[in-house]
Amino acid sequence: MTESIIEVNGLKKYFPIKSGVFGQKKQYVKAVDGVDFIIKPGEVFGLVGESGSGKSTVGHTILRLHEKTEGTVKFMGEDIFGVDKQKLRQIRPKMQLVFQDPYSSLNPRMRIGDAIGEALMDHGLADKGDIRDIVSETLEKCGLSHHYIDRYPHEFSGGQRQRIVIARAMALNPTFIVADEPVAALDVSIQAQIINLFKDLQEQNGLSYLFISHDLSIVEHLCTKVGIMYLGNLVEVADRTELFTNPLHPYTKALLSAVPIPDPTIKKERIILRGEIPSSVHPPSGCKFRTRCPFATERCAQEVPALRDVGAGHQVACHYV
Amino acid sequence: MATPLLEIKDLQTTFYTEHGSVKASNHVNVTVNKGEIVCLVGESGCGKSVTAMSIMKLIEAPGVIEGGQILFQDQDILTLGNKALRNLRGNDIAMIFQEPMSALNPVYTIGDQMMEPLLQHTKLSKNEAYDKCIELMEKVGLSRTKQLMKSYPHELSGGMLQRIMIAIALSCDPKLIIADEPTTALDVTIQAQILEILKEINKELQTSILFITHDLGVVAEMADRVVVMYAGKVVEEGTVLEIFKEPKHPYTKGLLHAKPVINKFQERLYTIPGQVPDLSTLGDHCFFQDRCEYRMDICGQSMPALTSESTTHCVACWLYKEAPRKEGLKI
Repeated sequence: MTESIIEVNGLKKYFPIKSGVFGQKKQYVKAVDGVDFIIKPGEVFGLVGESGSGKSTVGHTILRLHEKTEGTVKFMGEDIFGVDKQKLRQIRPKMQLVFQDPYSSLNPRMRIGDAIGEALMDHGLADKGDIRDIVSETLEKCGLSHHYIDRYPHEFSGGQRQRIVIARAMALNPTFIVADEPVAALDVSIQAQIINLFKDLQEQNGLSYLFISHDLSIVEHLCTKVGIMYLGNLVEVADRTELFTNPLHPYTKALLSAVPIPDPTIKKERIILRGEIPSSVHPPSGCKFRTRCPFATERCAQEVPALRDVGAGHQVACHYV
Repeated sequence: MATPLLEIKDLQTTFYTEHGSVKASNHVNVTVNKGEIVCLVGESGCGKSVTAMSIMKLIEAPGVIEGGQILFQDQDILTLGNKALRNLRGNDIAMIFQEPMSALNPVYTIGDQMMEPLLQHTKLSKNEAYDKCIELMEKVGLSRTKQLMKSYPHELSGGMLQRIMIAIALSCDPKLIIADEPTTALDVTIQAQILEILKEINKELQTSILFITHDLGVVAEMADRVVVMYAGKVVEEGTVLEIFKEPKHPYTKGLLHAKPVINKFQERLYTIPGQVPDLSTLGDHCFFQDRCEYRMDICGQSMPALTSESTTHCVACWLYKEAPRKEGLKI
């Protein structure tokens, strides 16, 4: 019996870029620069960060959609990067992905029933005769009428498309889903519907999610554990309630204070960060956040703070916490 | 007493598409007073951007502005000729768009694009315009200004480009800035910086801002007054406190409910059932009726007009017209 669904250890992913006159100088975008975390069965792990923090790269790399640069990823005890192609193919249906943009993640020429059933057929998970029934059932589960099965993607709205994409992932009966900003492109009223759907599916099927988002208020409503990323590193990891009531890292505090609250009577003290997220080709030395941190000292420029436990599973990477 | 700077009166902008005519702005009335920040809120497709574009007369075929008036300082913009419009755009009324990446021309330097409105609209010489640009950039919180003047848009990040856009908008001391989702494409920490700048401008220069957004958090932060749109119509209008503390229209209530709020954990989020209707097939009834939990018979028969609840608060819903009459019957 394995205790974790996903176990990530020292994961690094560098993308090479060429510079110089003939592209002879090789440099790297350090998208993910040493990340460790564990997702337990039934846990919803929220990965939060600004654009360019490497959160999507983490999501893609743990599904082996990118090859890693360093580190290990274990899915139910199995090293994702250590297994051969055949074995990987067997694992794949168990881990699914839902993308941000429901408009580009569905093939416009494919009926949605075929899109949802394709993987079932491909992996030989169901008899040809049963596929239509399974697809209809999955559609209903995701809040769509089974009459839609022969329609094309353009006949649906954004929220409905996102339901189709979720149904496509759910049809394979996965244990783990990576959801990469699945509600960022949707309107508020539709967003709430999709978040509730994610929650229902999770509770009914005991799924685990890696939920990638930049919106802290959504993460708070869906996730049981939250990791905050900055420039390729996790700077804070804690349980939901702990993170939102007792944020310790200066970056987390700033992020939380920057979220506008829909209540004009609350005037909260806002920590406004200076500047912008630095380039991940030449990240700052020491603590990567120091260039924007209001409390940065000499020490921050020299020593890299390690992610350490400060009690009750609350992990922070800062010298002064 | 507040003096109106911009009055949109009964604006009708229609798009004639293959699938029928779409009334994107359907008899819209909005007023922006001097020194005020008015937020126009709604979901995609509710006509908020079309309303903003109509103010600048930037509607292109198949769209047509079919009726109404847009009074800016008591002058109807819709009757102006091209030359007069050019004098207005970027000068008295400036616009900030959602996508700073596509709002700037990639083949001209930042300096060229910043100086253009100054050379067009003011009598400044090239050197004076250059100095003014440097000054504007500093005002919006940019450093290394001389270097930035020589760079091209692709060399800058989204947040920096949006600052440039704001600097350009400010360059001719506009009386009104129309900001169409200016922070939607940005990260929260950068959004906080940009909102701060816009608020400062409003306070210091008394510039009116018509702020278009779908984010209620941003609205609460910025607005003096709020106009809520749904399916091309204004459904509710009021001061920021009225809208957030005593929302009247079921749609406004639903929107406020459905938005997850940080540090207020709920097991389940409230949802508005269904989705925004197809604007080309709407009849003469309340457009929200099929999603509304308070639906009455009359809602499917005719369209409620915008009526005043107080001097500042208006709502278009049968609930508030029916109620007094029912009480009257009892007596």
